[in-house]
Amino acid sequence: MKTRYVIFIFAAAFIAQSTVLRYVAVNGVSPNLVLCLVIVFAFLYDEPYGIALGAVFGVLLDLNFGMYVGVSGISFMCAAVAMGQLKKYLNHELALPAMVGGLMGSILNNTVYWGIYKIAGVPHSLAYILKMQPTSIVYNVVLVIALHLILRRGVIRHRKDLYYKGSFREARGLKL
Amino acid sequence: MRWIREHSKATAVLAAFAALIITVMVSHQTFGESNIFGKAAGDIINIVQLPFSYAGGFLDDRLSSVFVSSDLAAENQQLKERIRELESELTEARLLENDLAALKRLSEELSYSGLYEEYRIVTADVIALDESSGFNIFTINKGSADGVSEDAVVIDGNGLIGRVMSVGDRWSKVISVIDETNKVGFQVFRNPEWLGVLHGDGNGGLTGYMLDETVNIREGDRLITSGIGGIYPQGITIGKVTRVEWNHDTPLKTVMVEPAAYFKNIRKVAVLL
Repeated sequence: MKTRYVIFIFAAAFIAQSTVLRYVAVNGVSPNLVLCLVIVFAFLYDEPYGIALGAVFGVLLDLNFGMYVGVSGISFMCAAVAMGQLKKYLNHELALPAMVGGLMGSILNNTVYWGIYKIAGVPHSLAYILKMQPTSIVYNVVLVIALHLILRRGVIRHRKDLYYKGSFREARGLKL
Repeated sequence: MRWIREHSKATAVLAAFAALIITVMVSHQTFGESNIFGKAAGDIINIVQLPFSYAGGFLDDRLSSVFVSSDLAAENQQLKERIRELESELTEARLLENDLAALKRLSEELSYSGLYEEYRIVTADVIALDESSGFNIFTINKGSADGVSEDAVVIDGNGLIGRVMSVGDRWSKVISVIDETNKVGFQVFRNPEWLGVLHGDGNGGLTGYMLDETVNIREGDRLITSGIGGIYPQGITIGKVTRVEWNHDTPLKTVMVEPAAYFKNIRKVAVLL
């Protein structure tokens, strides 16, 4: 995928997350669309879209909603780096590994995010933090699977064609 | 240097991590206050967000009106009953009109000012709200150019919303009262001598404790701000008590409170200046 399209997707997700996703909140928790994109792009692509754009849009989210600037950027980058390592051991074409990635990425992101805030001295209790985690993680995993199903088409061509005789690189959507 | 040349990607990632950690540290030292770059970025972001926020609200209105059509008959019945109640209340109110006029004359003589009369009120639109972060922070489209300052109190038609935590030229970040870090002193409307402290419970509600465990607070009691703490003026409606229980661990009488303001679909607020 061309870099400008990826930037556009992230920008659209950022705007949607801050303006319209609150209307689909469950138990006061809405999905973290930017995090889901970071996970999916880091899991599917070899290019460092997830890390770079995760850092940039994380900072923008913090400017809007964070107590301190940079915390989301760090947690998104951690999730992206972890996904980059995870895809070495899992088949990134399938939905199940994407679900595992979504689960791990979401838990890691939340742990790093709240860990930094706890170090910074924000007085949220552990009970308060843990209470919102299940909804947040389930919501993110569902969204990661949906985004993976959509975005993998651009990465893995002829995925179901077992008899595809074309170039492996072309089938993987890599530059020839 | 050789390692850096050979591992350029890893170096870039580490440099980005280091830059972000420094940003967090600086932000922590300035208590989250945006610097000139942050304020400029915030201005640009909010200009972009504004039309999408309005469009989202418009679509939500239209779609929700489609989905709730089955409930309209029941709601209509409730509204008719409410009109009957209000008509009877209006009759009583007219009877009390003379008493009210007398009280007004008395308040003028005593130079008494009402709850919001000493404040200038600025209305604002909520332009960005993210419920994925865990903080109950949102952005409004009024800032220092409109006279908004840090710790200005934010309300809506139903009651207390929160306070301004940082300000840009044309935007402000508001931390709502349902956030755990935002503590509010309250008093019970039925007996203003009963005082306590509330904070967010993590599920969109409020929880807190009474300063005196012997008081007879009960379900349905209305809570208002006590004015203790210096940020929130006295008399703003906070919510209604839904549960009272004795906490053996602390040991304190704790209260669960349903906020009067409807935080799930908050769009317009008023800032007290």
